[in-house]
Amino acid sequence: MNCDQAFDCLTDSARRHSPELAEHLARCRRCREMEATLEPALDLFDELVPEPEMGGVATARIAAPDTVRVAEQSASRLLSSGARPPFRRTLVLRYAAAAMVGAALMGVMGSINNAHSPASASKCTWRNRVIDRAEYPTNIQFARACLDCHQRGETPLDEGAQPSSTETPAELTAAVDNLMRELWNRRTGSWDRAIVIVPQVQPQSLRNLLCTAEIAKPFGPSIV
Amino acid sequence: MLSDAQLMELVQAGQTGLFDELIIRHRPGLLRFAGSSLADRDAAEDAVQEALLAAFAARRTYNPRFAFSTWVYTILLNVCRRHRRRRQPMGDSGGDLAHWPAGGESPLDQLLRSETRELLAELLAELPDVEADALRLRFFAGLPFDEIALAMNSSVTGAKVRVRRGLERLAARAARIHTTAGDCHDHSLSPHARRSTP
Repeated sequence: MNCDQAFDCLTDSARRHSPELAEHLARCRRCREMEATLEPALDLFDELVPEPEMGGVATARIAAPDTVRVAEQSASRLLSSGARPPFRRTLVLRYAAAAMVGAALMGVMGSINNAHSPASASKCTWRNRVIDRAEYPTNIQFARACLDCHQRGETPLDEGAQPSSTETPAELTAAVDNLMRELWNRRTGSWDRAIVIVPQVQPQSLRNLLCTAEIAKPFGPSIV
Repeated sequence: MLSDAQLMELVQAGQTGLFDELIIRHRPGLLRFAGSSLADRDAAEDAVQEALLAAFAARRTYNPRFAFSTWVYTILLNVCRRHRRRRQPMGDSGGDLAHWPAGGESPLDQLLRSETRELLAELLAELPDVEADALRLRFFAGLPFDEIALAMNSSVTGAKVRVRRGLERLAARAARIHTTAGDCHDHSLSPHARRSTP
């Protein structure tokens, strides 16, 4: 269980006292602190489960036209969002597409310029710089270098990318490993293509990449 | 057992009676959400009825690519916001919640629970709407974060941030109430003790 999943458990009355969460809290100081901070509020919600039956009387008998319009518009919006949070799913697909295009370009350029431009050079689109792949003998080392770079800072954080949130570096690394492995298995066909995804993750933070992974379950259950 | 999506497809195909099954499945959660949001049981029943009727009337626009629950909570969220806008500020109307009966509980349990409910309703009313609604969708409706995000048209992380910030504010307020009640009466159960404070 990572810290993101721990937050899910913490805010789910049925799982708040689960052994899995307890195990995570035992080894994660930040989540313990968060749990202690939120406890008075969580206890309030816990006390109210299960909620009593309502005893009110509904007077509405036909659908109000403006509410029907809301229903139609909501259906349209949900459909256009592809039944996933719009920003993130779009992000996944956009970066996956970018990765494919990038990989294809790299492949083409590599085949054309092989004599002059060694295949060991990759361009980081975030920093707009060329990375010497020779420094990173394996793909996973290269991916982790991208990860380190994003983690070091510099990445702008939006509201949805809180610096205080919660994964340990090891968990971040593991999650990205999993994401790329899955992308490799399902979508991209090679590590080189999957790896392009990591430098593509800008200007969002790595944290957002992981959230993207979280909702990318259609890619496969092993992502998170 | 048929899934929500399968039921809706059958409803769309003309077996409209199957919509009852969807109502049975989702009405309790919808009522919990609306009850907390509107702090008035009649208004809550009305809002839920309105949302379900609208979902039925607009059934042809439903698509199984999104969850029925996400859709109906999105509708209800809008209905509740509209109700709240129409009304005066809640004042002490949250007290109505305290009188909902809880089956099988002792009178004391009912009293304690109703006081907690009233306290929570008041604290939620003090939060920014988006945080209060996110908390209601999480705790009263039991929606997963991806559905909350869809219903509120936010990112998943944004939904989690709203829930976390809302909880932080609630916890801080609850702790202050705890302290105040403890100072006044030296009671240990202070969400409830607070109510006996003059």
